[in-house]
Amino acid sequence: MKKQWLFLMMVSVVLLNGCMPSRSVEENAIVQIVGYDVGEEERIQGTVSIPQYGKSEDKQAASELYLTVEADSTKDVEVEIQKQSSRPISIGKLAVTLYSKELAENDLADFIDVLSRDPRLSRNMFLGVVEGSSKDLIEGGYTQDETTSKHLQGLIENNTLYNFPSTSLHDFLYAYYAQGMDSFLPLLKKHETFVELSGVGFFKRGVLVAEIPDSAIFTFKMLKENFIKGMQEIPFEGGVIMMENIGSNVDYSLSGPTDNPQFDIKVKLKAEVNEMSGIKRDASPELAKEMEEKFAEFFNKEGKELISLFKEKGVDPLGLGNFAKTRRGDFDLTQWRDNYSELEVNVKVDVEITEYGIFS
Amino acid sequence: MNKLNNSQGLKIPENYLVTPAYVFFLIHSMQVGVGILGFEKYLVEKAGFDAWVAVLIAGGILHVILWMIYRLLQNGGGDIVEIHKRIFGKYVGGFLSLLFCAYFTLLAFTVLITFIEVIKVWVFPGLHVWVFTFVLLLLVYYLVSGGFRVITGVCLISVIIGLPILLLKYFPVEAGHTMNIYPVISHSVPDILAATKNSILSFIGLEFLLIYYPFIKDPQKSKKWAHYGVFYTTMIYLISVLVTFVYYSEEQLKQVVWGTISAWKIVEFPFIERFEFVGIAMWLYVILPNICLGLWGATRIPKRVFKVKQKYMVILFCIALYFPAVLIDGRPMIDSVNNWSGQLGLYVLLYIPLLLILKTITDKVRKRT
Repeated sequence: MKKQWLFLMMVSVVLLNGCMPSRSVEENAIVQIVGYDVGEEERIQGTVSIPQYGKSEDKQAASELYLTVEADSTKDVEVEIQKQSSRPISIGKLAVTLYSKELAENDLADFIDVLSRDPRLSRNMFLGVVEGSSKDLIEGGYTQDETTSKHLQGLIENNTLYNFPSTSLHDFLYAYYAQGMDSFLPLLKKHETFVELSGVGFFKRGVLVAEIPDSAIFTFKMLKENFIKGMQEIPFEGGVIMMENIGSNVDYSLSGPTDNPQFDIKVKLKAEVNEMSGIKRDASPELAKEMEEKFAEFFNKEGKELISLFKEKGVDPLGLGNFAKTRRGDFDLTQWRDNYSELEVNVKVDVEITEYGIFS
Repeated sequence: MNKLNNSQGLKIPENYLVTPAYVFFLIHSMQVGVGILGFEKYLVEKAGFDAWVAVLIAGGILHVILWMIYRLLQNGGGDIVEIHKRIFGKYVGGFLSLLFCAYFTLLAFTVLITFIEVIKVWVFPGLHVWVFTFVLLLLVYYLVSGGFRVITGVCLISVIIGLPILLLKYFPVEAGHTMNIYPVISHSVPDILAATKNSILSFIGLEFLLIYYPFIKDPQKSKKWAHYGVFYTTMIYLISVLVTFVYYSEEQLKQVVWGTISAWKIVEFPFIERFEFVGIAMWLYVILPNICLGLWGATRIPKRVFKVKQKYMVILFCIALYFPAVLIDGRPMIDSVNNWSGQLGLYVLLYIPLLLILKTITDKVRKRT
């Protein structure tokens, strides 16, 4: 008797699972990208794109539904969008969040608080600042077979393998909350038919205060982290050389007293040269030597310029303060901030050209 | 023959005993519970990124306390109830034992409500707490009424199920900043000791040995396993702390409520976007022995003191846990319950050396007379 009851229990536990109300993917409005702009009367304008998964077999084009609403807060955007949607909104797969430059220059603090609080959001999500309107960028419709969110996600992810420093929601929040470190985000720009990663924007707390063009991204990444890919165009004797990075290593070191420290940033860069245009010389070991020196000089200059920009704007995206804090027990944040503009930072780049391609 | 020198005391039939090696799982699974999901925050508040030292110190202190517990039990004639009775007499001793009963119940209660809170915040905001708690307590009742050996089995399973979750630590480390744990100690000794105190709060659980000691076969041999258990726990806590230190910046970690769960969020597989769901679901198995052993310990004391049947006590305690668990709501309340049980746990740990001293004195006095 007891065994039969047990059996009945087991069977019902398994079978009753089927009674859970379920909802298939097509019945949800899965928001994968959201963009914010400045709206009218101090409100914000939110734009989302919702992929439409049709029931037909027609898979030719990825169709999307664009919704734009005016709201008072981030959560309010969700509410307003829900009013326009025929299906329940689900934001668990949100992959890209964009802010217009106007909004970023104002202050993103409120948005950031929501981002760090909401458990539904992936920490690998990308954030970006749009030059112009994020609504236009989302509604661009760039490729036939990808949704805009997949396209932008791929764009940023792919670029972080090359010239762009690694970025994600977690990286942003890490730097945002850290002492002696400031965050940065990619700048995106919409052209007629494509989107371009046009530079890096630097934040002081939640406010966008400085930016660099895409030509300086390589140098910034080189100073920030180790990486094994990426390319940089370097002027050389009237022509240009494409330098291909095959392994860059950065090392910070701190010396001097805590109230007047000195930073040394040493970069070891291994490179490959495949293309020289406008240079009338044959490849030779001497030329390589000259190139190495020239490259190092170029990067030293670029690096110095970057650091003087950071000092001028009072931002620290490299996290030098954070580094000093881990090395010095008596680190004092206010003192550090006061001294930051006069901080001595030496950049020393060492370039080694190891490869010239398969044709001599 | 002097009757008081008889260290036989309580005798449990052979078929209810567990082998010494299982003490490892009993100790370890009771120590690891809901605390590990968010204890980093409380350490960082006190001692910043130097708090890993505090974890090591706390681990060391626990080894000492474990040694004391074994000294206490060696010729104590069984469990804490027996020891209390011998030192303080029937009434005062019984009362003190009942305090332990209340403490064990509070521990089980804390784990229960904190885990429900985790589910509510992370997985199902609209969870029907009364249904979930009912089902969970039904399961707990089933396991506890199965007796001590069943609970030992649950502990074993929980340790094994908890193992793969450790592998997930790889992802946050990969995304992290290892320079954060550069060993420069910049905090004063009082700060580190405050962090040590906070980490001991999440280490509590080994005092259950006081009640299940008679169930161990060959208790002397279990000593080393108990120490291995504490050591293993310390290592796991140390790893957790280091991983969160690498993953978060200091100011960020102070604002993260559940450091470990938030760190699971970085884990992403193509087939599952929110990996913390899996982690939290698996964590149910990790907290299950906490509630079971807590309830078992709590109900065993009245059985020993009043000689009532444990089964009825378990039903009574389940009902007693059910209503407050359903009614309690909100982070501040749950936080304060956590604080109380942590504080109480600290007092219990402090009480053990005191008890050992008292016992040594009474033993000496009795020998003389």
